[in-house]
Amino acid sequence: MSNWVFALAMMLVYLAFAFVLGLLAGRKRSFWSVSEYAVADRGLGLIVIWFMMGGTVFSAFSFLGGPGMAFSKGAASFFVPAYIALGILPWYLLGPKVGRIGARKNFLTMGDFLGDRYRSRTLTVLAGAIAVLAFIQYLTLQIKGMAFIFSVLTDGVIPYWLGALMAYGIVVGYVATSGVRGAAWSDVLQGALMLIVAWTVGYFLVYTLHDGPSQMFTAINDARPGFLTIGEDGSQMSRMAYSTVILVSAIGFLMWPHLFTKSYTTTEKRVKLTTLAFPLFGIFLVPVLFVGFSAVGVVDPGVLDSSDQILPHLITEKMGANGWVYGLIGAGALAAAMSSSDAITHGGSVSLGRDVIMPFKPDMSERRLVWIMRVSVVAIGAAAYYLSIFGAAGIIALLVGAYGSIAQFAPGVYGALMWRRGTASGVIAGLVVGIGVNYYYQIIADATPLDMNAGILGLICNIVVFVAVSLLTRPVSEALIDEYAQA
Amino acid sequence: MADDRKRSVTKPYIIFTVVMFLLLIFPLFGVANRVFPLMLGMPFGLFWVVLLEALAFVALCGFYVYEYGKGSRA
Repeated sequence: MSNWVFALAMMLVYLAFAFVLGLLAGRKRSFWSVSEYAVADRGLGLIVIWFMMGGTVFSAFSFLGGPGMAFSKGAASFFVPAYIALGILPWYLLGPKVGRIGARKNFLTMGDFLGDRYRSRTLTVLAGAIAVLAFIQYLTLQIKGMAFIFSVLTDGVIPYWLGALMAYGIVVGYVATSGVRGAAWSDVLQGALMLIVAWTVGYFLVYTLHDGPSQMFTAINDARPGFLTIGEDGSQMSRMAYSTVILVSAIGFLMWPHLFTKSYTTTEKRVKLTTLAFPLFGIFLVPVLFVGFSAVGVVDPGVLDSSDQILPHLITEKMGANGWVYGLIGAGALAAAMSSSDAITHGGSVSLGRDVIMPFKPDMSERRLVWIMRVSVVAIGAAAYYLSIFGAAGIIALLVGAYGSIAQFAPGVYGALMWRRGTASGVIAGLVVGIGVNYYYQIIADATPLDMNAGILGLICNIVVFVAVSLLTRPVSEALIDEYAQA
Repeated sequence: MADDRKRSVTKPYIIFTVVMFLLLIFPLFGVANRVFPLMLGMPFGLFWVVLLEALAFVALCGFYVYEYGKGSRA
């Protein structure tokens, strides 16, 4: 039997298993409760939360983009483990505050939080809309990853559209029916699988293509001086670009709106325990970079369409033919893409229902809202699927813009808790300016001042405008400010 | 009582976070921005990131135990 048959069989077994687990997770729970759907009645266990948060970090990026970045950009890829460790740190203080306010006021989303503190329904809708667009962009990347893996490992027998449909269809199925519990429980399976696969493959490649990590890095350094450092001759990234990309990624990390939803799913103690695990997630990612480094000097970049294809290329060209290995890697990579997709699809459906649709019909019944959220899963899923398979240039530019805009929520969120004078007009004006600047430098301009990251430039302008406009407008009531400042 | 305790964690925690940030970006990351010595098979820059992550984990455990460990508020 050929390799692709093994590979396909293993991936299908894995998909079936993930599907059943996701469906079972929602059994015997109230199907019509918004709180159960969105935050599992605020009672998920610690291990499950760990895997759900970790799963979101280990996306298709870890099997495709991460190795690709190490392969093409060298030391610049160190920013990935660095920002994951840093990004979560403020959550130890911020998370419990957000969680406490959320539990008291029955919040489900980040839009709820911002809208209530700044007394602005516009802000809720704006936050929800940006979140949904950014989520769709994120999903598009994951779906492309899943489709690509299916296609490569089955020698093209499963076409792009079908691979994506199978893998992502399953995600949509269990998220729509089981809500956050479905996402969380399947992430435990997926997380365990992809960790095992990532480490095995990383070390296997290093020892097959080189004699070991030390020899590998010495050889890379001899062949390409500067490739393993930042901001020197032969380096692929300047010091300023490296520092600012870490900063903006770390600041943006906490602003992904589904994190807010997750903080409402659990207790203060658990939020803090969740934070604990993240530096370890960063370390777990290191072998993923090894995969990319192992190909430096072995694979000619010219043979790849894009550096993201380095892992599949190594598997099919360099690892020797073993169908089981193919299948295992395929399942691991699918697991990585799916475990991020489920949490994000879920987050998107909650934001769309609660922040974007509900403000226009505030008296909606709970049953109706749950129904809307479950339909949103399918709608967001279909949109992301369509865009990833067929594309649409104009919409894609919009999505990329939203994706880069997530970090721009930071001034409004921190301001809500720490700065008494912040107002809705300030936040909205800051957001608009920050997103505009980010978008301009990311997509239109060729270079940024001092080689700084576009997101950081956006944030600087955002903060200036937020402060200036807030000081010119009337603050909300003292009692409300106290409630947030002292939470 | 509980409030005093919380305040005392907040300040050190903020300092810890800021120090971590500074150590991972330039100019301070400059001290680690080299290939040799290779540590645990990794270039020194990557080892530095891993080392700080391990330290962050230990520090977070420390904060957590201090807040929730034996003899503190339940």
